[in-house]
Amino acid sequence: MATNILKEKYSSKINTVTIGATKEQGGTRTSTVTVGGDASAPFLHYEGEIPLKPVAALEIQDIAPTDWDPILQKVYAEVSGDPVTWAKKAVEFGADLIYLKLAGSHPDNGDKSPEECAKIVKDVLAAVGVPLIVVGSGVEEKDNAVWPVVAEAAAGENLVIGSAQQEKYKSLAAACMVYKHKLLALSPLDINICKQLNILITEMGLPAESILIDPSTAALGYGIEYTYSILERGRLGALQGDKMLAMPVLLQIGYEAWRSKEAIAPEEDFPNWGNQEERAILWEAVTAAGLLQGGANIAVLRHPESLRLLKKNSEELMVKPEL
Amino acid sequence: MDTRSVTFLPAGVKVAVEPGIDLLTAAGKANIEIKAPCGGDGTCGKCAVIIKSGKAKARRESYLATRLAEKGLNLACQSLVEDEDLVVEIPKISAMGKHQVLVENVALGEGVSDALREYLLNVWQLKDLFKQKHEDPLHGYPLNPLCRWVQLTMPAASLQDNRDDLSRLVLSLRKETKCTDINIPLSLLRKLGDTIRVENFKISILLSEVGGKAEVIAIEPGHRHQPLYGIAVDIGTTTVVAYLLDLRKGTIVDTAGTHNRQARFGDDVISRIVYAVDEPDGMKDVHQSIIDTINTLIQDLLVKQRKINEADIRVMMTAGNTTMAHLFLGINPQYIRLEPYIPTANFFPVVKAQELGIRVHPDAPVFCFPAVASYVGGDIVSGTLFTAMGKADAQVSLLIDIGTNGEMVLGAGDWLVTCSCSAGPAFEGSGITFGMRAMHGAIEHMQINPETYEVSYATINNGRPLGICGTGLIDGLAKLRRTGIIDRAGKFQTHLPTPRMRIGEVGPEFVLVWAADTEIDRDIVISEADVKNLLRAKGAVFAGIRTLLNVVGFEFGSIETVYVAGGFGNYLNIPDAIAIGLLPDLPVEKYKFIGNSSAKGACMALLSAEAWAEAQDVAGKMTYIELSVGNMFMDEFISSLFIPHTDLTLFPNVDL
Repeated sequence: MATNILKEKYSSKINTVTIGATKEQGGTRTSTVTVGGDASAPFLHYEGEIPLKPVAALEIQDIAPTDWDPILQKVYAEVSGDPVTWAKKAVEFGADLIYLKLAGSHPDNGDKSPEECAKIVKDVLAAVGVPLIVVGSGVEEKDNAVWPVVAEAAAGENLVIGSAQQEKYKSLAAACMVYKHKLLALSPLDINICKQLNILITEMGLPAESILIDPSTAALGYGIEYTYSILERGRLGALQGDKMLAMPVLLQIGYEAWRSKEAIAPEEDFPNWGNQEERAILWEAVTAAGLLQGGANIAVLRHPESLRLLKKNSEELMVKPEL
Repeated sequence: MDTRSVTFLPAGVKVAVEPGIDLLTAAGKANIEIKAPCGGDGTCGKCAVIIKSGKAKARRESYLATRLAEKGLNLACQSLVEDEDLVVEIPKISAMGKHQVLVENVALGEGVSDALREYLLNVWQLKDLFKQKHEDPLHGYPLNPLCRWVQLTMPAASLQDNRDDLSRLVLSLRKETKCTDINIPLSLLRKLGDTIRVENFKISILLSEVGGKAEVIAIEPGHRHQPLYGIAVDIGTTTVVAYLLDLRKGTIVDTAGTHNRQARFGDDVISRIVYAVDEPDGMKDVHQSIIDTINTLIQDLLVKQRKINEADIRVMMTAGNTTMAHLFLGINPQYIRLEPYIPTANFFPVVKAQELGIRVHPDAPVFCFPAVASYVGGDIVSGTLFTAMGKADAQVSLLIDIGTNGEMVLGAGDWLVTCSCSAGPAFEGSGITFGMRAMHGAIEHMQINPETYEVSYATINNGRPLGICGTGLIDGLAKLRRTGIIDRAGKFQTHLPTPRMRIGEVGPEFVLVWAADTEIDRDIVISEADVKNLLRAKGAVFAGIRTLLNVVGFEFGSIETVYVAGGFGNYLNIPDAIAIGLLPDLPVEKYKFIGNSSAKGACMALLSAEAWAEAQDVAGKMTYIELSVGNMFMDEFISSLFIPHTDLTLFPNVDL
């Protein structure tokens, strides 16, 4: 009895998006990262092409984070006051990209001016060769002021800048259009709002190929199944030809995983849960690995060991099976 | 108990009330209707009045009341009569006014302005309205009214034929009616012996034959011609319409419509249930106010038709949503709104008019259309009967009632699915800053210049603008989007270079009419909150349609006819409604306005026992889809909160 391999036929695929630009391309990066292009459900190589592997970014901030767990603080103790050395450290750890959060631009957190923010971005760009993802503090008025200045200062570098939301997308979309950057579109775990936001942004004139989706992430045990279903639905929609869901997906896994009690509770409080460090790293890595199966293209992580595990997992998933 | 007097201006009506009563209730006592969409909770601000003399006590401090006080206004529902007599002026904007209830009566056009009629006919192609003058209320069913006179000549009693009077009557009736189950009430039995001997065993019997059972209503001596009229009432949440029918001829004699007086207990069914359940005497008040509303309509009709008397109306048919039916009959509605949303009854007993205090013949049977579920009631069953969707050879059709409850029915012949999408009253003007019903001075159409953002508008009767009605809101939404004042998600573009775009008390707003050009001396604006409200209303309707289609695995293309029902439907501009994504992007010719189909179905059922039997059948066949179960509706709803929709391929012909 010969077994017929059942294959779904899809009419479309995920957009291919390149982040960063080398000297020849008008930037100063020594390497660029290209994601997307998937023409099948995650890692079903026999059904459609999966040309590019998922990548991982490490998160750094422009000011020393006060709310990070001691385990993370320990890893970055020597560098966390300075984004430049921190970024170098992240590259040493093997990050494909740097995810720079401008936490210091928050009005309650230093209120750095747009020009100061632009200088930090420039300094990080000068210090490392990998592409950069830059996100604001999340305060609408401040972000609206910061984005254009950062976008202009880094013109040609082809950054990813975030995060546009349904209530605030215009100034970021305009900045990305003028200075040729990619835009990160954040929606609140809702496929319809995700799609609506992409329509609003593309209607302003930014091409769909310049958008990355951040569908919002939930950590293991804290609603990861919602994220997973939404990833899956977005991927299926895109494969069936929905252009407004065909953007590659970025997930903020580090931030979410390191908020969970299981990652930050010391062993003495919960002896049954075992060693905290291992537990926390796995919490982040398992969240990431699970969501990789939903179709994540870029995972933003915090701990170098989770990064190592995820990169290994992603390599293995890229091996095409013999059928 | 000593009382205080409250005089209401401009009407000049004086009413005596006990201290401690609020002005909204006092106005109700004076039969003056003040808008109170929130049901007197002091949250909507629509019942603002001016206290000209005397002092009232505030029920409680609130931000809204304080803000109104700055403008010299008081909330009627929160102002209590104390120890002084009061003179209270009701500003135009708070008065209920005579809004347009579209009553397609024999003399079409009463209550419909010439301008509007012109508009209806030219713009909306509603030539149907004129046809209704000649429309057959039977709509294809045989004339066989639920109540008829039967003339009998019984064999006279003798020593050879010594049957008792009752058996003699029943046996003769059986030959006439083919009914074996004949019920004669005790009250008639007491007088039977005398009645049948007045004209030597010749009698006329008024009976109602339903489902193989005959109920004798009256017995009169002789074979005189007896007038026989019935009344069919559509009890809407917002509007109540009555049709006076000649049961002998099967024709509509006259119609009358008014707004439901229960409005003072809240705009929607939920707030009325809450009032009925939570307030002392709430049930009594809510029940009585609908009875009063109907009695007023009956009085109106009888004043117009002098030849007809109260006692000539021998039967009544009502159709209303499940909550209305419960409140009309005085049945506890409490569990309709509590999970799992169970009405006390879906099929209602036939009651006598005198039990309800309806001012027709006291013995007249009152029929209520059967309901399907908590939020799909007799009005929808009645509308479905009218469309003939439940007939064996029916094509796949969709019936939508675009109103507060937003019920819809999809199906053909032996399968019918139905749901209620709770669109809310936004299209009836409620919950919108300057929303109003379609009446004199309502903006119903507008143009916005895409360069200068200047607005030109048309109002009903060309009156000076008071606010915006449902059609104006739909048109406005399309125009705001077309000119880029709002994005597809309804967000205002606040940087636009025009003084009309500004930040108001509750966020961004766009000025449609400057105060100087209005009747109310305030800028008429549409705010971002209003737009979001309208988006939710239109999103609910469209998501309801999509959900019903999903349940049975159909596409829009499968729908042959879309019946648009409800009072508001008559003023609806289909292309505008499609443009904002309220209705599916189907060819306009597939849409059919059927006006107040609930009332029309009620007329049919009253005039034809066959139609009434069909209504029972239809109600039994309808499958209610509970939208709060599962995430299908929610998903469809969020994707509909966009102009016209998140999936633009659903609206291939819309260019906004």
